[in-house]
Amino acid sequence: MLSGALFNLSGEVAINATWAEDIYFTQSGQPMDLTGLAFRMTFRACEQSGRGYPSSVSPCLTLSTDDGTLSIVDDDDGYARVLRITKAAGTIGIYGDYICDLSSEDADDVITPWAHGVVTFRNNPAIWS
Amino acid sequence: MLRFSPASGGSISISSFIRGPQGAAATVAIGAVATLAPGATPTVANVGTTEDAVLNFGLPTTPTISVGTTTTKSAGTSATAANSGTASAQVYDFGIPRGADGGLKFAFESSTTMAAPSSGGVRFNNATPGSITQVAISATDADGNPVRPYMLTWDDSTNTAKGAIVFKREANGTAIILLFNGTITDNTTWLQIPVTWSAGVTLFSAADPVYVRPDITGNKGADGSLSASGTPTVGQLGVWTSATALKGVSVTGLVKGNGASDPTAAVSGTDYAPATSGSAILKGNGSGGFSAATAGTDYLDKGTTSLITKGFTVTPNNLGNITNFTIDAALGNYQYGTNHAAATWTAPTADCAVDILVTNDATAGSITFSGFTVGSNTGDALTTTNTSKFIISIRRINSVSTYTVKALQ
Repeated sequence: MLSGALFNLSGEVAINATWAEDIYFTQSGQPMDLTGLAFRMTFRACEQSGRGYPSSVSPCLTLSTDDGTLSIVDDDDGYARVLRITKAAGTIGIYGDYICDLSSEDADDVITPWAHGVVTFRNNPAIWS
Repeated sequence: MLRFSPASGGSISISSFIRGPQGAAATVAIGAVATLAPGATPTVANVGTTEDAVLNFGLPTTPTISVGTTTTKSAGTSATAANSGTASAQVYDFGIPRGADGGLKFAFESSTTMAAPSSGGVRFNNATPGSITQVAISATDADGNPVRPYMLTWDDSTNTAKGAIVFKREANGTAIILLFNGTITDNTTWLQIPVTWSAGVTLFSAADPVYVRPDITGNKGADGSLSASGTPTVGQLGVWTSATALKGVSVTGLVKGNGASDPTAAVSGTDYAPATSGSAILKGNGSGGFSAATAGTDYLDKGTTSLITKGFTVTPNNLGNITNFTIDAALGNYQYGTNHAAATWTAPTADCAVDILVTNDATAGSITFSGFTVGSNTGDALTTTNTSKFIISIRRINSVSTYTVKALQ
């Protein structure tokens, strides 16, 4: 593992629809309480050679609990245990493969790199014109 | 959609799910609201759908509550409250027991035998309250308290009148009050108290709870004392020389006061008139005594010739409107009246001389003289002319009577 993150990440995101996705964390089968954590999810452009190294440390897109694109919401039991992604259609602004890093920072400034991997942004093929 | 796979061994896992579009908001509407009886369990039922609920409610009405009657119940009974109205218009009638009387509680026994009553019992020796002379009372009251030592103090007063005992029936306050002047007999488990009836005519019923309360007389106060010196002896007058000192003074005969000095014997002829004998009228003799007055000289006497040296005045008797009457010298020797209508004057029944002034008014009538011995040559004509005045002189001498009219016009 190159990033040191706890999880490998992959996936596809449609850029022509609202990105609405909930992420659940569990430990030993029990939901993890996310209270007090700040989350950030960055997307950096992949190198032209496609070897998986970022060409720039500056993210092309950042989702965070600071700007509200990420939010911690209550689960059905009323506990803050869901990390919610909400990015409106047409606001993503990138296309293709990007290196994604999901990390959190607690009140003691301890940063936890949760996941690292490549996420592909593309149009949802099932569109009507 | 994102997919997470562990990069290293561990107990943490991450999973991700795409959220579907948010559905339309559910609706809730209020349907029918039914009124239920007071006290019923409220109901609610969804007659719509899960997404578009229509709730029908059933709500119990609130009853009105008012106060009805309030009755005073016997002391010792439980208070009551009852709804005499309906479920929706409730009227509560209250029964509140009056407070218990003060005193020791006993149960009345109807037996009149002066023997030990039951523990907590009391009885009289007569079923007629006015004839009660003895009370037998348990040394333990109805609440189980040993009250003998206390009751034995009831006759401790040094006064002859030891006090009174008030017996009050718990149920309605009916009372019998007995005075006690004698000594309480201690029979250990019960006491017998000599009494005399004072008040209360209604005897209690058997087993009636009765409250017994003594009103004990205070001790007799210390006797007053007089100064030992000069204490009067038999036959002497007692004279106070100070607020507490009394002395004796011997005086014979009538006593006269002498202001701040001791009384002394009054002197005949100086302080009082001496006794006289006979039945004559007395007159002062100018020297502190009396002497017999002389008829015809000192006073008029019917059987003695008297020399009158001064005249006299009279207040004539007013006859008013004269009606039939008998001339009566006892009314006065000078009389007057009004001839208002015809009338008969009857001669006097005793020898006398009476003059009557008659004044006619507008309805004057003729006067008829009756019973006179002499009826002719009786002076002026007696007319009925209005405002005319006449003096009619009546004489009766030795049973011979006459009259004379003098016209004043």
